[in-house]
Amino acid sequence: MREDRAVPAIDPELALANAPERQGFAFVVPKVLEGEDPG
Amino acid sequence: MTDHPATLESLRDALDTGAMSSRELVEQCLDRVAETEAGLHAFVGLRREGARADADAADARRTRGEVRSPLDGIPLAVKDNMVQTGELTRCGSRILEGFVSPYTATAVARLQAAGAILIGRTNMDEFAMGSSTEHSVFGATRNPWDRGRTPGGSSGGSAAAVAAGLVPGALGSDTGGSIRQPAGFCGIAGLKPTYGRVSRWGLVAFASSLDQIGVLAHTAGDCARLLEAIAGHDPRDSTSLPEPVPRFAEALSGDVSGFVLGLPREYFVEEGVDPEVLNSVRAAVSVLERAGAKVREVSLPHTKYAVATYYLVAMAEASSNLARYDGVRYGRRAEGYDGLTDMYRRSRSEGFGPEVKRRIVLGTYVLSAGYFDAYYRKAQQVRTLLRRDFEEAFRGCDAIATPTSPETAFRLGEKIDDPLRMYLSDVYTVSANLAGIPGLSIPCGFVRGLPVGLQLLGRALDESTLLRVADAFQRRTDHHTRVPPQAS
Repeated sequence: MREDRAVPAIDPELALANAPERQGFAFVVPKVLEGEDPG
Repeated sequence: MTDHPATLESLRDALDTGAMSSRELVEQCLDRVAETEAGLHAFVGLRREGARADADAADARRTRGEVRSPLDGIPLAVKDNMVQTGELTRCGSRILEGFVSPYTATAVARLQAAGAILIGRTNMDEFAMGSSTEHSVFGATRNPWDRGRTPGGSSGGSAAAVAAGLVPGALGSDTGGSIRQPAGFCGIAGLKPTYGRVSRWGLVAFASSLDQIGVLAHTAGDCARLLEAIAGHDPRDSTSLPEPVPRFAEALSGDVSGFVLGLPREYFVEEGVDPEVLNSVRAAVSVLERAGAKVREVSLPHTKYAVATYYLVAMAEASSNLARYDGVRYGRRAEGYDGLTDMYRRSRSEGFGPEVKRRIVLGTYVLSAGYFDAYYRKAQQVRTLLRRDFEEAFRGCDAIATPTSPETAFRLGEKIDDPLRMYLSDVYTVSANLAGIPGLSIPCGFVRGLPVGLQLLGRALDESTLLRVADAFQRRTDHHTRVPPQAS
């Protein structure tokens, strides 16, 4: 098994590079409001 | 049918002797792709400038005496479901439009490290779900032997590219036969390794317990060289096996005296099979007998459950793997949605094709409460029985020989509206994926001008035997040397 060793997480810019919509280091998605019909 | 196709071995010789440079080779490949693309549609993307730069670097290494491997400077192609840094990866789907990968699949990286020149990405059935390369958002690929027929699938683009002489080798992926069946339809060699032999890191997942990256080329020797380059443990793939990689090419002696070939009686039933295909396979087995191999009938008694078992397991795993395509982090996001759930629904409805949707819905169904035991659990139990069939058969033989497909390449559009007929195309290939064993298809004849594939199945991690038997066959026959008339 591989070592239990902390390594840097993925670069946020790489993680967001293909985002359909982003704001800073976050993916932008529609709001999920309490009580909204989940469909 | 004339000429001999350029193999990895012959191109390496040309480079070694200085008869050609890697740059000349790449330009030739790109020219051939441009000439044939309209009629063939094997490629969905080309790395023209990247390939030229890589070729120049390979030529410079050769000049300095720093050749990295037998693949150094050789142009190859990659199926469009293996990611490569900075390159579009679409998997034949609208839902991945615009996706540029931030990393490179291990198998692809190993080819690059070996010095191979990756000239482009080949067409495929959407998310590898199909047997004809008709289920691609980019349109169908055509069979170089008959442009009105399919090349098989889902690695049809890779198979067509090799068969048409556009590249001497390519990577494909095989979940239920998607390397072997198109190899059989296109008259080339296609190898699915043992599950775990090649890292799946960077292979876009379809069914994770079945998927395996493999190779397509003209000869068993070229398959051996490609497999050597990409195989081996990868700590980033937890299913990657730790076993060392044999020198597959060195074992190709041409000698099969004493080898025992098993012929499963369940695979040689006349019903549902083109009798000419069976005759071609029987004739191929006779060639191996004359070469010194012994033939024995074996039984794989649970074969009749294989297709159903495969599709239950594969669809269940696909429904889980494709849940990630939701328009949030990458790929297509629909417009005009009303809320998060609607965004998911619209993005996936617009982004997936009908065959993918069918498999997701069926896979979700078989995993659902009330049906899980009857379908998915039962399929996993039958899977164990299928694996035990092979273990038992291999007690009495070294390899198993079967047809690759029940028919030769079918016409474009012939089965697209009949999914069950399409699924039955895989009747001979799915068991190897369920059991995790290696399988190799090589051309063994022609029926009405179309190639016939001979499939060899082996014990887990025994690709060497399959390659040795295939090489012995190819030393005694010339089916693998023929090129499609339109490609010559």
